[in-house]
Amino acid sequence: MSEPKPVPERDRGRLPDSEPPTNERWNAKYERLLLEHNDALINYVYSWVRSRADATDIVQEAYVRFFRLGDPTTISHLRAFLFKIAKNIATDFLRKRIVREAFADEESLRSSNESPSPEQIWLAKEELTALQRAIETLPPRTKMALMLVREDGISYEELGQRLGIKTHSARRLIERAMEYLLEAVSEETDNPRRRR
Amino acid sequence: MNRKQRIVEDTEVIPVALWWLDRFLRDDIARLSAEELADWAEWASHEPHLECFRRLKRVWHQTHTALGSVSKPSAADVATDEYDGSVPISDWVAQTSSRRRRRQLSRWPKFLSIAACITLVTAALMKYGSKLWSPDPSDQVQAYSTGPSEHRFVTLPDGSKIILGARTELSTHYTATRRLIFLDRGEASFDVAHNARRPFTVLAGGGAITALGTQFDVRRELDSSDVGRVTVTVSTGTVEIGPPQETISEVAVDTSGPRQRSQSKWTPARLVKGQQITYDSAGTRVMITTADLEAASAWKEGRLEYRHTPLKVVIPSVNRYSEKPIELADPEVGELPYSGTVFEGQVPEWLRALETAYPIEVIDTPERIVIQSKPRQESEHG
Repeated sequence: MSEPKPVPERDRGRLPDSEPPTNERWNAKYERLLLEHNDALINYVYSWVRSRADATDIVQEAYVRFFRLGDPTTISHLRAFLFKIAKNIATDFLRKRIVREAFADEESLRSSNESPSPEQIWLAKEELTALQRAIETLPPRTKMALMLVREDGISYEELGQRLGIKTHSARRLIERAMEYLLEAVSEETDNPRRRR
Repeated sequence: MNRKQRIVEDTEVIPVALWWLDRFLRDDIARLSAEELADWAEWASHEPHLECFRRLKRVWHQTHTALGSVSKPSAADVATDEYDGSVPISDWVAQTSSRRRRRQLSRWPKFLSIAACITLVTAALMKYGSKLWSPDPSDQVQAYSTGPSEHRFVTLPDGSKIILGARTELSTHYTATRRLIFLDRGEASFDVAHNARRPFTVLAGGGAITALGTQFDVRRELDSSDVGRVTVTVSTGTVEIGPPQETISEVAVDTSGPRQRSQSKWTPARLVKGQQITYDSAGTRVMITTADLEAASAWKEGRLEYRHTPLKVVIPSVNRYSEKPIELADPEVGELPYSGTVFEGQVPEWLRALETAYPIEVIDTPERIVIQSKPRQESEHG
């Protein structure tokens, strides 16, 4: 996993806060700040969320929160603070997005009241049969490993201990098993009729 | 992107996808750090990655269901499995099946040379050895015997199996139409390969036991007058027991041996699993009882088990596991009922125990062991 993204050098600058700004001066000053740093901020957020549109939305949200803070004169490192707000929003956004994009199929399944079509049922059955067939042809030790991990829920560390191999080797067996099972299932669902 | 490319890419993506899935399933997403979230966002921003992740997640969940109806691998298979994950399993499966095919091919030449050799020898015998051969070349005769405390496992050419108990003598006479076994003495257990057109018959004493694919045990004890008695126990299937048919009797006479020709014509009996029949050489005193199958087959595991069995029945069997012959001195001793287990190789110990439990004396001489009633006078005084 990569290190936390360092804040770029140019983002570490301070705002001149020698004289307390009036409201008007304040607005003009911060508008300039935001305009100046808008691109940097968007790039920064983009580095977290990897989506230009989402980054723009998040930066907008960051501005809103920034101004809602009331008297910004108490904040000495305004620029850094703006970036921190943006990062927090980006993080929350990512959590939601993971649930959405990675677990979307489950969500939609749960929320839909429609019963699955006969074809969907047939496909699911075919997939399960293909999967069982593939599992039966796994090398015995790998099959055993898959059962321990998937049915008993043991960790890779524990699996390694049980099989007398290193943790990464134990993990490798499961990776290979899943690779093999994915191949088997996608072959079946890509050409279900050709294979009978 | 075509299928091939997709699979190639999958092989690198799957471990990462599995890492993420594992991470999400083991930890709450709320506990992921901002950096981890960003890493996910970067990785998942490639559509094929996300697609792979979704497929993996789907199969991962289905695997749980699928494993419910999948056989567990045996410990032996797991122990001998050499797959270590260094190559994809599909490659491994392809390699091992071609390896197996190669191994099978490499076995062929050896097998062929043996087959050729047998053919040559047989051909030579057929051409020059006709005088060495009995009239019917298909008649194969083979004799087997065991010493005291010795068991022997025999697999016959038709796949039938015989376990010989101690001090047992039997011979097999196989023809194209019959499988005949002569049990001259001792005990043997038969596991018969089914062949309806080639009946399997055991001749023991005055009876013939015919089976068609079944398991049974025949014990033939010879007493001093060589009359003896035969006990047949059926463990599976059905056997038919009756007087030997004339044709078989003649064969029996031809092959000779210490057996009598049965004159009596007793009605054949059918025995099913769990039944036991006892008859003497004349075919009289035919008795069908319910057998204790476990006790009846215990001898194969080195034990002789009895429940309320007179010593005159127990001792002949124990004798086959004793170095020195054991004799019963008087009929009274022979009628004493015995319940218990005799362990193979512990006959002297068993005799000592018997002595303390019964009003008997065990006299150990260099030639034999004699069991006799305790003199009344002594028991009265003591």
